[in-house]
Amino acid sequence: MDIPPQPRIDFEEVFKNHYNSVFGFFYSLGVRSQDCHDLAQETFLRVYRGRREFRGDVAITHWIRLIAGNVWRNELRRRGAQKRSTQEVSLEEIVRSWFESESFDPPDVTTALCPEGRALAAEDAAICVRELERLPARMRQVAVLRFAKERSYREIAALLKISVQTVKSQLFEAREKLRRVLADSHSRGASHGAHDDTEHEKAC
Amino acid sequence: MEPMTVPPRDEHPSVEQLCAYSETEAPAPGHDRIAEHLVACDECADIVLGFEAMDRAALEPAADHDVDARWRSFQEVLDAEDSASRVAAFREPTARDRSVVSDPRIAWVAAAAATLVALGLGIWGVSLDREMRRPHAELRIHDVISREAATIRGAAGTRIEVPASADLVLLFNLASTTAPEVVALRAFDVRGREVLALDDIERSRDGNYVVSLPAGWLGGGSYRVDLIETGSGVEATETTETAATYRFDLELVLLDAEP
Repeated sequence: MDIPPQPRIDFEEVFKNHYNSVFGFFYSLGVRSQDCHDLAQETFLRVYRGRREFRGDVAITHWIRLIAGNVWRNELRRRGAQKRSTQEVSLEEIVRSWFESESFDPPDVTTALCPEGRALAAEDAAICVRELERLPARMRQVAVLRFAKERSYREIAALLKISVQTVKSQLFEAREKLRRVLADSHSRGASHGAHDDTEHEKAC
Repeated sequence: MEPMTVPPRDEHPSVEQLCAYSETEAPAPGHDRIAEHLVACDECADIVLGFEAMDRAALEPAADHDVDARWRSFQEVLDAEDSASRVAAFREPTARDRSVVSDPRIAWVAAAAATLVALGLGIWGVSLDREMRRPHAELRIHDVISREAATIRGAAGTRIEVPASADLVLLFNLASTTAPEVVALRAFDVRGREVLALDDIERSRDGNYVVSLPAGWLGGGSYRVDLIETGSGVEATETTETAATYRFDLELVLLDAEP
């Protein structure tokens, strides 16, 4: 089998054509501008060192992305930031943080700071977790990315390979389901313990 | 209820997997697993979003930097990189270098050069050995013994103070295993006049040359003393390349000399 000839790389052209995108990669990760230049330079230095290994069987854009991604992972390792993502996070914890965030505003959820209010909020959180577990995978992913991770519609669409419109509709549906479940739960609680609720309001 | 957990660090998708995920529009095998991971893992999600940002950035002119200027700056880095590579090439033979060394012609040339160097070193070594074997013209230690049993030990050039009435016994040791069997002694005053001449001084078994000088033979003053190798047909008066001469200075102070 013939080995395809190794493509000659005009490195200056590669640098000038891709510098902005590599810079943009690091900038999107929240890196300061000057550090972005340093990381971009490190990326192109690796591209330069590995130019003889580049066989042309993949697009050079893909190749540069791989190098930039690895430069970033090394940078994270250097900063020790990997600890953040190695922590195991339960869905219950995510929902709890979701409840504490302002973006979650389901009806009849007690957000008071008194102990009784917290107990009811914890109960609501447990209900939400159960309901989230029952949601279809895609809907659950959209809901978690939106409410717990506070990702934008566009980011969720990019991460889950779906359209922004799909994100919106999935999110709407997930919110409605949770709202209904919580409303049902509260109405059952109201019928079984109206006296308790009155005592709770007094306490709060 | 089973908690949804982020996989340990080792189970993060590789950058290549994330890149492939980012670049593929249609669902592909393994995408669900990666999507599930991205929901929980901010680090990997950020990388995927960063790849998407690359596409946008490529289409937008950068406002805060000049790519041409960046390239010129980067060229200096490349120059340094190339220089470092050249230096490293001298330090560590590459596979290509090793193949050159294994060329039989190069090996023959190297062997010939090594032989010449060895030959040169051998000749130099022989001449060095002969030079080392040749008696060294340096007197390490001499003793001056007076008849009053005072022994003064010192190195060549030592100032020696002895009673004027004492006979002197001078012991010379050349500190050489190849010291000659027989030497002659010549002493010269500061004007270069020969003031003392003794021939046929034999080396004793302990390697010393013993010279007994009755009181009055040498007055106080500074002398240059030559021990000249003889006994091999070389006249003591001759100073040739073959006759070793051991030269040293002696300052003699007679303590009770009459003014």
